[in-house]
Amino acid sequence: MTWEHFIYFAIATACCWIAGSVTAFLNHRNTFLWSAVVYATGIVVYASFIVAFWIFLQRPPLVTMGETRLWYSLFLAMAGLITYIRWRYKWILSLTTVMALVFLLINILRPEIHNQVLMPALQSVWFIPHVTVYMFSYALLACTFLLALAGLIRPSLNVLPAIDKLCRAGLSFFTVGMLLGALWAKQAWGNYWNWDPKETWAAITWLLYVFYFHLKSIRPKAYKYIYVSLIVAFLALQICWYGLQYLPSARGSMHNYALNIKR
Amino acid sequence: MTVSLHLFAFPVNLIVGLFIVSLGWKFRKLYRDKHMTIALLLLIAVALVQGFMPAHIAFTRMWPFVVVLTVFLIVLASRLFLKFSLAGFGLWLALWAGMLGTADASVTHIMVPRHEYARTSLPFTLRLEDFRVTRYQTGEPLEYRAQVSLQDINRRENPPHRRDDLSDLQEYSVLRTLRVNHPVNYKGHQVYLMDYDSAKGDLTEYCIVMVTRQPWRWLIFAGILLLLGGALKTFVS
Repeated sequence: MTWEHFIYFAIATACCWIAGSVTAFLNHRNTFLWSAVVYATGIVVYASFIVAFWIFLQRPPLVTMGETRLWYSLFLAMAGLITYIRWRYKWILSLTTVMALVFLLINILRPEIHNQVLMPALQSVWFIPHVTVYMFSYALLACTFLLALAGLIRPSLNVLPAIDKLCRAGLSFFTVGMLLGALWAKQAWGNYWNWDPKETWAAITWLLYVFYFHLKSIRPKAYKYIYVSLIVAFLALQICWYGLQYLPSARGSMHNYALNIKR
Repeated sequence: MTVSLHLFAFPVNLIVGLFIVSLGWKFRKLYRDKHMTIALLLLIAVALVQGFMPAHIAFTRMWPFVVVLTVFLIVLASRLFLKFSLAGFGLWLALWAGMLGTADASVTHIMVPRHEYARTSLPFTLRLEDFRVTRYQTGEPLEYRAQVSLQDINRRENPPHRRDDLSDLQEYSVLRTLRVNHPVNYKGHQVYLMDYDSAKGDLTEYCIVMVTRQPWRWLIFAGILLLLGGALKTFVS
């Protein structure tokens, strides 16, 4: 399975996800079951590409931006499906689908480098857990972002219980990803924390999500501010993940593996 | 504006650390969510300054950042006295030990030559014995492997037995293999492979290693483990 096959899997996946999202809005006895099954089928098709691609590469597809986007779309769809099954918001599938498809489309238009090389710096037992745990948390937090947007636009929706659960899980995974990174950094760069631009922005993101929990606790009725705090935290997360490339201050980041071949 | 680290070398940093704890106890009425929220906002503000600064300007080593971090540690400590949480304590311990331990930490870059021991200011010295680059078929590096011998300077200069016995001298040095992501521990120091003469490949005449000493690292490590436990606990409950 090479990168050329991606487009076929992407189209099949997109069809399933869109069909599942549309089905969720129908008024029928089995609407819920069908939408969930169709959506899950899309996830299975998509995941099978990642597995086959992994086998073809002979290394985990977690190195380039494009490869992390693969996982992001997968986890985002999974997070959307879990939220749908648990809280039955019929619109959540459409939102996660749009977002997952955007990242899928970016991968079709700008696949970036996908070769079999895994440089020595990334050959570590920490590599796979560090990146996948992060991607999973990014997807859960993206879900809270979508819910917060929905809550901000339609104040009548009661999205806070769902946000709370997802954010709790998302921040837990984010913390684990960050700390696995810290343990790895000690092995690779000599210190647990170096205030590398990526680390700094991870810290900012983490603190903003912790801030959300505290804000919710001191001002439980200030819905607007709570939603805005989630949106701001999510923006910081985007800078941490890929926005750094466009930030002049981050040019020397040790996390830039595309440039630092020797590391 | 940069903090002079040598002023805080042990035991000053420990005294400052205990002072932070006692301030946390003294101001333990600052345990409320309100105070924690303000402390968080302050920390976010200074972290943002570092986030938008060029990476080579270490704002995190300047007074404004250190003061805010200290205030954060005091507020978090006061909170922990009354509302203990595993994650909170782990975060506190990692930040506390990370901040104070910096004064006792050292980082040295050493050029390790092939045919003689490097001159260092450390209690030991190194010599490059062998360097191997394994490559993918495409030519990109798969692995760097540097075999170095490490020699205890103190024992070399004050041998317990006869000075002229070469086999004796051999015992003061050990062979270790350095790889990326696989540092070597020696006499309380950690040795990392950083660089080599990439134009010469296997035939490089030297390799560059980084030697770190971080006596407080076990406390930071413990803090990280506690915070990990706290994060998992939050997820499960």
